[in-house]
Amino acid sequence: MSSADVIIISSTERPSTYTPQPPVQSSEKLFEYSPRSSSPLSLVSPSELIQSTSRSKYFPSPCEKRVPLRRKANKENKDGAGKECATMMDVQEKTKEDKPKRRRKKPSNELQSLESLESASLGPDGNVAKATTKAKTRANNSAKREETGNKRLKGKIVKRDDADAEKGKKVSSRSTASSKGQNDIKKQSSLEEVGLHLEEAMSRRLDWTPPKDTSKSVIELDSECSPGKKGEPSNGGFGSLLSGYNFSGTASSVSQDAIQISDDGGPTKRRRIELVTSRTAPPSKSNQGNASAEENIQGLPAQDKKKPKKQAKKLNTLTARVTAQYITDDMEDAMDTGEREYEPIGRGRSKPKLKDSDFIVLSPEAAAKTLDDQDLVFGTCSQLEREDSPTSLRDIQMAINASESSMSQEHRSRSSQRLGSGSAVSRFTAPRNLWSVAARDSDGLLVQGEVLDMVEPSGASKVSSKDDCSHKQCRGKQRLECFEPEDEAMPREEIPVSKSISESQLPPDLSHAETNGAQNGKETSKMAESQPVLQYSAFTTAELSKQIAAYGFKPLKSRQKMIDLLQKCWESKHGPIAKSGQDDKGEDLSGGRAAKSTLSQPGKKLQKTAKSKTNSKSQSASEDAPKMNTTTTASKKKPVTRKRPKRTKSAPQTVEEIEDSEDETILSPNRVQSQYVSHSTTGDQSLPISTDPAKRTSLPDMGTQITKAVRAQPRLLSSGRAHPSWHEKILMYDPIILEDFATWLNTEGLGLVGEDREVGAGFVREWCESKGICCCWKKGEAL
Amino acid sequence: MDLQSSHEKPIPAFYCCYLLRSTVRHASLYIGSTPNPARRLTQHNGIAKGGAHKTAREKLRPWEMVLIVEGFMSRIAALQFEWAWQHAGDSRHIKVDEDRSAHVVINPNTGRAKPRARRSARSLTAHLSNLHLLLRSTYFSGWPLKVRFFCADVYRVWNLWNERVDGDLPSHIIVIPDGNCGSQISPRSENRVGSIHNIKADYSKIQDYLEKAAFLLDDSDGLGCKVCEAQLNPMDELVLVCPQTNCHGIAHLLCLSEKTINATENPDEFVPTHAICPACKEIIAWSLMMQELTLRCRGEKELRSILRKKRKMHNKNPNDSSGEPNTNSDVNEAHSLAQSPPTTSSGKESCPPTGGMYFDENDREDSPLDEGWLEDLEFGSDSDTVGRLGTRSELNASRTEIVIDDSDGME
Repeated sequence: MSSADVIIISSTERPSTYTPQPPVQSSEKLFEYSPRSSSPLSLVSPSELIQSTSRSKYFPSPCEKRVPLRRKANKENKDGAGKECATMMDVQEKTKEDKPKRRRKKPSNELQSLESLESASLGPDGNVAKATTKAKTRANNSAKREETGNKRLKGKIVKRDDADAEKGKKVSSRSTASSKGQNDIKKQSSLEEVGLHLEEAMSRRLDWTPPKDTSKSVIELDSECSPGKKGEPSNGGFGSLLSGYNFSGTASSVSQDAIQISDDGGPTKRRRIELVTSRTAPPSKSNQGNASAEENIQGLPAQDKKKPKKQAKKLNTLTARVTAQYITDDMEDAMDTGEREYEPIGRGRSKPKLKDSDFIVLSPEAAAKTLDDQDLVFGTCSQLEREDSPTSLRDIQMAINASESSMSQEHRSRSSQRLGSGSAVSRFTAPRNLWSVAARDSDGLLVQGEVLDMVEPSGASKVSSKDDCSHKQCRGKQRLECFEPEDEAMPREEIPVSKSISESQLPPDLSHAETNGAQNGKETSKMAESQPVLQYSAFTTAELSKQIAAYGFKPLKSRQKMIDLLQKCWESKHGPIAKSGQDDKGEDLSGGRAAKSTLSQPGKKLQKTAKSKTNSKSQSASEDAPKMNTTTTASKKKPVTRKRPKRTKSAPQTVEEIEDSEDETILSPNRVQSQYVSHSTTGDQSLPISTDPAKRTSLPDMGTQITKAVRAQPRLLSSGRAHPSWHEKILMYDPIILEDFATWLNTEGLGLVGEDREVGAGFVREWCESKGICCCWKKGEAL
Repeated sequence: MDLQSSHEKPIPAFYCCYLLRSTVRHASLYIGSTPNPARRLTQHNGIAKGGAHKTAREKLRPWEMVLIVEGFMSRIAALQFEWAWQHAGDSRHIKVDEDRSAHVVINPNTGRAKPRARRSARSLTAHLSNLHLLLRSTYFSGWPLKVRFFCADVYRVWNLWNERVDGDLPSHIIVIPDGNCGSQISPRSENRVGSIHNIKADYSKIQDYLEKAAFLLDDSDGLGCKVCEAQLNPMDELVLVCPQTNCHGIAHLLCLSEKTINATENPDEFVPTHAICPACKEIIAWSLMMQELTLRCRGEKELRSILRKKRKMHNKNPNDSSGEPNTNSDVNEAHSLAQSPPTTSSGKESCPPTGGMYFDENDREDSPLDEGWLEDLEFGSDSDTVGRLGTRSELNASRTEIVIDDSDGME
């Protein structure tokens, strides 16, 4: 097999250039190191070597799968060549050379393996020791481990060198490896090398000798393992030969090895580069590594070195790196912690590092297990990281904020409660939502009602005193209060109306929801929140549905849901900040009043309405007093609240009122309310308008609009002939395709006329036929 | 697809709806449409392939076209009118309300009133009355239609009906007594053709106009719209040319239409029936100018072939200008017939009972110059026509021209 392989491989021709160099160097120094590399081979050696050779013939697939062994051998070869050419070699070159080298190397390896069968047999003992030593070295220094890998490679090279020295064939194979490396060097050296072949190779051998020394020294310095490996090189030599068969396909490894060797001279630098690339490389190694930890160990460093450079270039995406890491982990199992260390750069450094530390101590099997575990960890890494860093913090912050807000709300509510029924808490600047949430008591009643009371200075002098106290108590809310009075002045007048409405409407609905509020001692404040509900609750379900429709929502079955939705809509429409808050409060207050009034004095509602009417005309203060009287508990607060709600209510009510008048003519109170509302809602008419847009717009005939649109279409002087306007098409008796014409009208044509409505194809057909314009459907439907 | 493609077609040289009557049994009537009535009539009579099955009974043959409604500006328009005429009871263009009461039949036994079958009456009078209604309808009244009678007895019925009916036809719809019915009436003799077979189904009628327009617009420099005085660019703009031989009046389509519409009493009108040439002040039929415009803008190849033929004819026979186009058309017909055997079954979808639609389609296929391409499109025989085109173009130069026309239609 091996012989055939060797013959088959044409690479021998190439190697010839380099051959002279490697043998000299490798034979001496590399022998010592070779055993390690050979050791894995030796373990597998008897059967595997043959297999490897056979596989070497198949270069592509086997090389990848068994890459570690082959690579090791290749690395050895490479190391020999690399030492010679290391300076010449570049990472890129290595990558380029990989394929050709592999082929070339394979033959060489095969030759070596055949020759070094004996060495391989010796290898196993040394391999075990090497593995242990390697593990130690790994634990000690990841970088050193890589170096050890280099050393190992060197040892392999030595084996090859030995084989080369022993056999001319080996030399040729070495030459192939070296030639590969040179080729990798971007062909700069390749020409020279090719030309030099034997002669230059010899000179290079001489040159290479010193690097061998350096490499040896480095290896020794780096880790004890390397010397141990060195001690075993004889075995390694055979093993390397065997491995050479395996690796014959991976010429690239040689180039990398060469680089690494150069690194040995200044190993750390190159190794650093390699380390980065090594991550990517590991995957291929992983397969082999799984087979045997020792082999993996040996192969891994070489592979790492090789792959890192290549892959580093290739792997630019995060996913690629991540996956590469996974692969490496699997592959390397016990071997490369260094790779892991490198990996952490992107994302999961912390975790991999931790694992690395563990791995150092662990045996290969345990390492493999841990690696498996790591895979899981890696998978979760991103998640874990997320959880740990940003999201967790955010969540915590959110939670803190929520708690704080809740606390603040509680404080507010408490303060308002403390202030008493008329507390001025209402003026809080906080947005409605927060306010509304915060203001609600356990009973669901609004505390803000009290605040509202405080706000109204002009409205109720009586209340004002309490309000002032509340304001003072309230933290910074007084500022708001100052603004509020101005705003309130206008609405207060309207307030009576709203009150009347609320009261009249309330009786049925109010009793349901707001009775609770009235019962509570804090009724007013609590009621404030419920007040908006009260307003809407006063409406009949039909009215509610209409209003919801006016907002563009689909009808809701639940009355309460409709009320809630309307409240939200109303809030969203009316003043966003302080004003909105005021409005809301006002609404709430009014509702509270109504509820209270209804609860306390259902029979007096009519009277109240009348009063409210009178009050509406007059200012709120005077009005508030009587109303307050009528209302049961928190009369003081209520007046204030009423004023506000009236303002706010007026807008929503306007829409409602119209509907009310239409729907409920029977109920006198509604009528009265509607009248009031109509008066009060002068400013809010926009709402009803919005509801009736269709009617208004419908006034101009769409037919005339279409006519205008067609005539308004600008003519395109440049392309009028190719793309006639619709007017021109009509003039030319073109059958008008209704769908297209309608589409144009809706998208463009009617816009020219300022028409917002849309037309259907059916209507367009009517228009066309009325104009005697031949029209048809797109599908050719006749008539 | 058909419709869209039809947008890119020039206005057909001729398209008409016709009322067919059996000369054997006058009660047998048939309504159809065709771009080439002479050829269509031969089909109905079994002389040529493609006659409607309803007219296939030898008993009823020969058929005669007692009247035609011509001037449709598109095949779609003709089909719509045909359908409305055939299904007068179902057409939205005929106010059924008026006739509803008349269609109610009271069963003497039960005393219940039940609507008469919607099927429109089939008598000649009924057809004529429906035609009268359609021509007065808002949809069709604006179209530049002409009614041409070839049978004196039918024309007599028509006149009688006109006297009975309250409404009058739009003034622009011309009723031409032709054939044997107008012998004593000579005022519009210039419009008379004498026989169905003399109707020119191609653009030969407007050859001079086409040639003049092409000549006038050939040198586009210094051309100005007579309405807006702006520079004209005939290649990019829709430009109208006065059909008067010695008139150099040209104008933008929109300019002239706007000017014309503004001059009328009805500003909402879109398509004028006639326009006054801004240069020579002659009254011009709008449809005529549109025909020339669309042919110039959309049927360049066809127009070129027409002009080339005309030149040839002039060279050969300056005096006889009408002979060759006919021969050409005949050749084309022969081609189309030979190469595209009647696809009768495919055309029935549109109107099964009468089959008129389907016949029309056949007609179209037969007449390449007129609108044969349209038919081809409908039938989906594009591949056939394409093949035809290619082969013909290779085989015969003169035929290639015709073929090109078809190809235009196809595309």
